[in-house]
Amino acid sequence: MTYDVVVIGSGLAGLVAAASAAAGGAKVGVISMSSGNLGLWSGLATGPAGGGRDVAEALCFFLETAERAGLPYRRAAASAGFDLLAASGRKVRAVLAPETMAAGDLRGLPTTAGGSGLLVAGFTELADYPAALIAAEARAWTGLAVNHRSLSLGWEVGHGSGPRIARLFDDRAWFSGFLDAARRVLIAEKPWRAGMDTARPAAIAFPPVLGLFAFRDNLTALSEALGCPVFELPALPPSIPGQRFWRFWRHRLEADGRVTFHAGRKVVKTGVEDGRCLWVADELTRFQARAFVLATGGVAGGGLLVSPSAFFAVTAADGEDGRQDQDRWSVDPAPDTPREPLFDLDTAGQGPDWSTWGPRTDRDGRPFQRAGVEGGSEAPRSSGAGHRRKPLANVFVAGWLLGGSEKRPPEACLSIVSGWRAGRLAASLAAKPDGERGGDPR
Amino acid sequence: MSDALLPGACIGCAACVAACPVLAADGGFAGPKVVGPAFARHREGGWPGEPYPGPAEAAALGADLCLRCHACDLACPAGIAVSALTGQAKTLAAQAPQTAFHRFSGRLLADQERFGHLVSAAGAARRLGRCLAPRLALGLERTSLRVLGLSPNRSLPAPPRLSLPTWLESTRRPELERTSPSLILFAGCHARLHDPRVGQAAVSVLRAAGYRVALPTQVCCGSPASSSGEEELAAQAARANVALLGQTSTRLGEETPIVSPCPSCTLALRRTLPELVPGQAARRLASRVWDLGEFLAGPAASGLHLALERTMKRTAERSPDRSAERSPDRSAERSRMRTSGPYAYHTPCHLRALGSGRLFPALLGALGSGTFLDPGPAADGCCGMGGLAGLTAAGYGRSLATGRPVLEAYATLEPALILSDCPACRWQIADATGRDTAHPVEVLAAALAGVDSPRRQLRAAPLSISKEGIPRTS
Repeated sequence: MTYDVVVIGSGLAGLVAAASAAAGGAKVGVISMSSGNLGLWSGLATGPAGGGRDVAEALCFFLETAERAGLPYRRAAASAGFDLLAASGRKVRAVLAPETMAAGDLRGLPTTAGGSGLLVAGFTELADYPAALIAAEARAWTGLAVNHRSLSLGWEVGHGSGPRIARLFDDRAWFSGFLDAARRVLIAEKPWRAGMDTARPAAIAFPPVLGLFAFRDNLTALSEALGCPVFELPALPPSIPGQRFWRFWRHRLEADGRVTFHAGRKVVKTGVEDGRCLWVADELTRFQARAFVLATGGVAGGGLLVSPSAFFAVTAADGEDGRQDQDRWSVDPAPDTPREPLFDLDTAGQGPDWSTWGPRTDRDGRPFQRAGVEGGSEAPRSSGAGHRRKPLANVFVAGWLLGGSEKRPPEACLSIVSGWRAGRLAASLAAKPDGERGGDPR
Repeated sequence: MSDALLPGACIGCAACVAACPVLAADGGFAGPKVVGPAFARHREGGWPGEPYPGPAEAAALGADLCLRCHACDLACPAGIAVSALTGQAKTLAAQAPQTAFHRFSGRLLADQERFGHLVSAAGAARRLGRCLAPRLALGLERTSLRVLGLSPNRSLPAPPRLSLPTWLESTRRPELERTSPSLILFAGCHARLHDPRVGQAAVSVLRAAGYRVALPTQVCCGSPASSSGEEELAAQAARANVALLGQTSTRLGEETPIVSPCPSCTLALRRTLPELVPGQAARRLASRVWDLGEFLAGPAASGLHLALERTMKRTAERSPDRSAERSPDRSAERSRMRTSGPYAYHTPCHLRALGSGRLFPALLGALGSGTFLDPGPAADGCCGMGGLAGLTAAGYGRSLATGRPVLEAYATLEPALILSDCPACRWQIADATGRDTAHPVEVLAAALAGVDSPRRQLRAAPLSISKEGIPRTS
């Protein structure tokens, strides 16, 4: 199969890269093993808002595409970003938030008020979402007046499952019944015992399960019925916001007709000649393209292979366990560097011990986020045989494979900004006539 | 064991849980994370002081409810073949004690050869009955469906008047085929036993693209059997197909592509078959299996374009008044080829699992055949049919619940035809929305034949469900 641009990986960075390459006029193939870390993603683009024209343009592109996909995002008016309450009861800072969560900016809420603070609503049947605990933590950490109330969704829901509850919220008939229950329980419209607190809360926070598809209508209806702003709190997986993102973006990109998804395929082979990649292949099919975007994720996403010994400081000499681990991960015993398996790109993490990887600043996040591809997104260097330290001219890297967390300045929103840039560069390279690209790949 | 089958690689992130359409609709299913990797780990290790889990435990988790849509596989960030692990639990659950009636009706659908022949055999009686005493015949039909453990709300396919192999032989033109490259058509049970029009359309499109189509003796791909947890039956089918298709390949050449219009068959032949039948022969066979869309967009693409240009020329010659106003712009010329449309295209889960992309809308779009309506992201999921699971009396309601977002999305559209590669998806969508459905290759064949759109009047289902789910006769 032949495309202008092939994107490997379809997590956040891969989807943004595909959208950006398609916007640049390229015919795009996305080859991916899975939806990456989207299944675990809260839906927030965290970190402080970075500067620079690239960042502003990338975020603008993201907001436009999200709007077109039917899953609108909002950018914080304040330069520091949104201050949102997470299901841990603590504040989390975000540059971008889905519309469903953006209304929960703590700066916009009244700090203290007699009885009319923030109300954390919980569902008795939803596991890992203790409304009382969230409210107590939030009181302690934010200094706001925070109350909580839980309501039951009925026995047929079963226990624990966010996806099942989200499916109910997509059902119009069921939802109208839920509105009645919410009015009775959450704002005590008709007090059923004397002395009930009937003060309207300033805002109500719901778990992020208010429908996989009908969430916009549901939030509007809830806000009208309850007479105050309502929003979703970012919470634990199984992530409905992540699932929404995957489904809505994939649908939009496919329906626009420029992007083809080859899901469930793991790229295992690459064809590189003279510092250019000509094709990548899984076990069955060869995908040719003029430019490639590598968005396979970092250590956590499987884009970088790291021997367990790097984490546990067990060396091969220590005994059988170390050797077994190394067999399993097929990493050369020495030196113990993180390995980029597809193009054998040079990585920045060095040494047998993760604590020595990369620069160490407070903003670099967790140790496994420090390892990454060297040379930046535009000129990753391959250390493979015959290409020693030679940049790959038509491969662009996006996302966590670059190393660093989402918070690393100046690349706030690492996946979105690098995805947008990689997609744009790949599309413009693919659009150039053959002579200007330095030799015809085919 | 491959990495994909290592349950220990599961990090418990629940991405598969968020993606599972069965779990979202059905409280009886414990979800892919539990039924797949967690149960497999449990079976590997056991827990101290507890017996190893067996069929009863697998059944208690609702393992039999998994529809094998593979949505979990495509969600797993660790790259685990979750559905293969849930499949193991499903096979185990099928061994749990059940009533003779359940076993019988389960096996009836698992064995498509038997089911297909039963439907065909009953066909003549049904046709006669509907002429003589329609009401009585309808009542009898429903009763017999109940007796077989099938839902009386399902429309059964009308029996074919002409079988696919007979049609293929009668339309062969040896003088044209002598120099053409060969391919083997794996028609699938639906096209072979129930609805030969899909097979006919596939054959005529492939012939027009310049291929000689062989239809050797073949049996069911085994997908319904493995979906029902009948692993042995699936292995039997796989062995038979390796032998039968192997013989033809020896005659036609070892590299002859095998093309199937049904994504479930393609998936079973490509992925499940080499797991069920050990050896080189099965692996080689699996490596040359193509989905029809893949084949038409890949090796057959240039032939297809030539065929379409021939058709356009023919159409232009037939209507000279139109050719007078022909513009040099190719796209304007092509737009005349647009069939009436508009269409909606449903991506079957198994086509997603194959990772071949939504090829037919692109193909039809590029050829200028019809416009497509956008049913929205909700339609882009599992229709709930799960192969044939939605045919049973117990599975009917569950299948509608599982596919509800998809079915509701199509019910709000007004397309001329809903296109889908998968016969089970078409069956479910037609039953639940009352809309006409077709395989996209039927539209392509109609465009090549210069007909406006595929003929629908042949699809006379004896019993279909209106939007409200109330059975009505047609």
